[in-house]
Amino acid sequence: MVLGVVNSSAQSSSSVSGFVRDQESGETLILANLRIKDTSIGAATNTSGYFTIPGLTPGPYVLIASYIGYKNAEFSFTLGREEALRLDIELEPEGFDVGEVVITAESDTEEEQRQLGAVKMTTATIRKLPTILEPDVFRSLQLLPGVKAASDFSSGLYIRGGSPDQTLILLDRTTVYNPSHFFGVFSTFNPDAIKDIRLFKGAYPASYGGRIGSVVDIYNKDGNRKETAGTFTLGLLASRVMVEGPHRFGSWMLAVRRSTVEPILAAARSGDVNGIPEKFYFVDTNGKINFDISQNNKVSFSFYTGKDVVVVPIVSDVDVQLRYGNETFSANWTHLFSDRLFSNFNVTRSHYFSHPEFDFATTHSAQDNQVRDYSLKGDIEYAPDSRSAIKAGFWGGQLRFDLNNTFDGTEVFSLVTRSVYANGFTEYVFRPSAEWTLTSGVRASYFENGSFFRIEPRFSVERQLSSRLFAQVGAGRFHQFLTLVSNEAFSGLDVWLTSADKVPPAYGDQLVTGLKYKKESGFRIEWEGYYRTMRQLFSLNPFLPDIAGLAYDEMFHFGDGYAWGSEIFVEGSLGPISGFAGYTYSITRRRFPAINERAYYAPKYDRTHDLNLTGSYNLTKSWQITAVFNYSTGQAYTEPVSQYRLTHSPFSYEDTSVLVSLFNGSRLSPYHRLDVGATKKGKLFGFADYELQLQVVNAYSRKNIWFPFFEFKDDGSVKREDVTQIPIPIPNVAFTLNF
Amino acid sequence: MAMKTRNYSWYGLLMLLFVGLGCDSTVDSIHSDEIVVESYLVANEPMPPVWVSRSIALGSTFNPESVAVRDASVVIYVLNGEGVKTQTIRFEESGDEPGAYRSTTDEVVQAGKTYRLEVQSGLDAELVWAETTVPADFELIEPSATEIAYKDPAQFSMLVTQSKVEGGQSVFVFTMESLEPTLHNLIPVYREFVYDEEITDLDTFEWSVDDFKQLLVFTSPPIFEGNYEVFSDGTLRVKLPWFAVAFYGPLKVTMTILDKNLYDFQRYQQSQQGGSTLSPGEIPNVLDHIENGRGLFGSTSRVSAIVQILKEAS
Repeated sequence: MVLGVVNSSAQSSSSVSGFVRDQESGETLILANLRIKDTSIGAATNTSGYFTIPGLTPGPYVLIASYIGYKNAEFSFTLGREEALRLDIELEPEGFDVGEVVITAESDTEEEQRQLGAVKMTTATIRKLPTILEPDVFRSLQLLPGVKAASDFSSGLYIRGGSPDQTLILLDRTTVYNPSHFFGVFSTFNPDAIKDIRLFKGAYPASYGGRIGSVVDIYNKDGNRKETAGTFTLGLLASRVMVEGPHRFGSWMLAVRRSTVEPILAAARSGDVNGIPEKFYFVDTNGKINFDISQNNKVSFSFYTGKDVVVVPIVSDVDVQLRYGNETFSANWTHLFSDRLFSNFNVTRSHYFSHPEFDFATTHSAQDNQVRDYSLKGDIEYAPDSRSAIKAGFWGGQLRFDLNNTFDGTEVFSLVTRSVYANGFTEYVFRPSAEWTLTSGVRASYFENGSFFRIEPRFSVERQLSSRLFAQVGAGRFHQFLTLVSNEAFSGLDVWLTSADKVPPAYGDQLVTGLKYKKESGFRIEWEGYYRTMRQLFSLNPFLPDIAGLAYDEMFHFGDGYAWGSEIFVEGSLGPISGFAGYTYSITRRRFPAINERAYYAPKYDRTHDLNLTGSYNLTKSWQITAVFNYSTGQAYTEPVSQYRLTHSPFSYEDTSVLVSLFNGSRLSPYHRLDVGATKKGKLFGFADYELQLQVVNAYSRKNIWFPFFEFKDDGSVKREDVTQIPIPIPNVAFTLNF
Repeated sequence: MAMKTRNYSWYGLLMLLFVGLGCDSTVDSIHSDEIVVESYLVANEPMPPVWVSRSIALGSTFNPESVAVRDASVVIYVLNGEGVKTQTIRFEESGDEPGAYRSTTDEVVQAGKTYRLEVQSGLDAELVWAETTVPADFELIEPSATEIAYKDPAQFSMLVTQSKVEGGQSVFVFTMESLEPTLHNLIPVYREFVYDEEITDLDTFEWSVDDFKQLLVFTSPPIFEGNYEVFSDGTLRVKLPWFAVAFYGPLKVTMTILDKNLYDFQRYQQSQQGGSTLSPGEIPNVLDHIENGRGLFGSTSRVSAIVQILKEAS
């Protein structure tokens, strides 16, 4: 519930409020924009699709409602004295042939789009972008300025210099601890099942917490409130089906996706090739059911369950198995105490598990790794008058992390961590005039493990410089009580660890400033600059060969870092081509005692320059082509300069070979890649809409280097082998049927 | 709504500050020769040689003779608890092995003692030095068997005494050395790894020891004592996992306790090969505890047993 610029009297007491929904499906629309015609009075819907515009004087009004991909709608009404008008709105979706905006904002969704560091991406955009085998939420976010990928094989989000664990991932307000399939290649979110994605790249509001970097906030679809409908997609990697519909008291949605690579694997196995997985699949299910109990009370239950399974017989007597996945559940109650007092309460459960097993001869080793998070969450939003809005809330729960390692029949490591956590926040938005908006907030966090209590102030100012130009500055402090043990190349073994006694939480400060300009035509140009610190970073010491018998704090190494950057985002149309472009200039550095002799170094995901261009063109009414181009500075890597060999080790028959180098002191050659796609839409036998997608990733066969590998040869030389990212064009075909 | 015109130049300056600050910052590092020392002291065994060589550029070809450092001054001192030199052990270059320096006197390495190595490779060269404290003694009380069938659920084990280590727990490595490494003795699962094919007739198949040289000495990664239950009498029993056995026949099993230098060297050197939480392509330098040079001056305490690995019953 975001207040718009208001120029009516603060003492005015009439108001208009309600929910905004899709006319065809009844789906609530997040961040739809509402504006009183010929004024700058307005508001945007909150994450439940609810808006309120208080402080209106009695009289006639015309309310304009708008939302990306929907036709604007106008509603005329007259407000009496102290009248609280309830106006639930339905917007009509625009058709395919009216010229889709490729990504995010239409000019009227201004309120939230203007929020510092905030970006919204629609699932329609995600489905349309050329992709590696499967449409992917996180890979689409990686096209935005300030968001980078580690490689072609990783869907991990590296946002404004932060590692993936510095981003809070929420699905229906529930934390997701390992949002990946195929060990990091894809993210877990089925684009058919989710509504919108909001990304806060930095300096995020006080209503969020727990990570020092950013937030990705995702919601499952409510389901169609008008009619039973569905979509079925047959893809190269996976197929998916989503069905939604109304029930007597509301709506429901169920979506299932499963990989379908088994026939390819079976063919490979019949070729007598070693190492082909015996099992290799992922499956996930999203579901949601809503009960519209009354005009002011809504209850919903949603869940996600997904897992990846791989079983690989390496040779006879040796095999590797891995099962990992996530389960989330949330129950949500939305209650309107009055037109100006909105509340939302949640009970959530999140469970992440990972079970790798390794058998060699009779030696069996295994890990049981689980995260369980139960929480209770509540938010209230209150608009006392036309100039101010207040938000407050709490989020508390219990975390339990289990990590057990067994080797050769013996438990060699066991760690059970339980911690209660509690957070409270309040946020106050004040608009002293039409030009100024001041937002102040504070968040307090308690983490039982280690008894840490932390305060996080947040502050932002927005100044409207002209009717189309806005300047913003924001700052805040952020804490993080968790750290992720992961590897860029493989996410299936991710382990979370917590702060504790002698392991204080990481924290960081962020300063963000922005300048945003938009035209009525939808053209938008935005600039944001940021500087952030990362202090008391704690992560598992990468040089520990073993952790048995260690005190908890001895498992970690502690460091710090900083990042700063400048991002430009342009969106609009150029003749028949519409699209967006993002450029980022950024610097990211880290420092740990045991690496690079404690000097700052560039982590591998540091990219000085990063350019993304995305465009789409309607060839005909039914054919649309899309292209995505990325160019970025080569990744930091270590280029050894010297070598030596120890030739008398009692521990090896062979020489012990050692490299000497400046850690990550070199750069790979620049990365660039072009992906293209074409989409055909039409009617199948005149009754069902279909969509055929033909795409090619890495269209011109760029061999981007992932990392070099240095092999010591028997003849005394060292051979460099470059491991490439996707080296060849990868085609993708998908056929979707809407029914 | 009419808006006043304002001067926004300060904002332009701020944008420039963020946008225009230069290009990629990389630092070119250049190879320079460094002295490399290598020596492994073992408690209760004769003072080992010290090998002295030089590092070479990555693009150069390693040749033991060409990198050997001749005519260096090599000395090992025994230090007391205060770090004062109490004994001098001099080394002379070996005539038959360039760069190898041997003790001029018969010395035995003593458990618990601290040794300081000093190498002067020329008049103008910096003194290269390192120190190691030899891990305390420990004993093999008994091996569980002198012969055992491969994959026997009972597993081969050794009962050993606990080694006292100041300020922490012991770090072990286990080394399995085949004493009869032949193709016939190579365990089938490893045979599959080495040859990637099914060998139908072992007698006629052409092979050489070099085919499986990486398996001749099989060493575990460093393992903490915390993995094992220490009995009330201060002993602990260590089982040999079957995956670490690559050959049938006589197998020398050595349990070694590492000093800090060896432990640090091994764990960092292994992380250069990948497998840690570092990203691929990130290669850390080895923590070697050598001042003004590179290499390894480490010490160990160890026990060994020989066990005959029999073919499992079909």
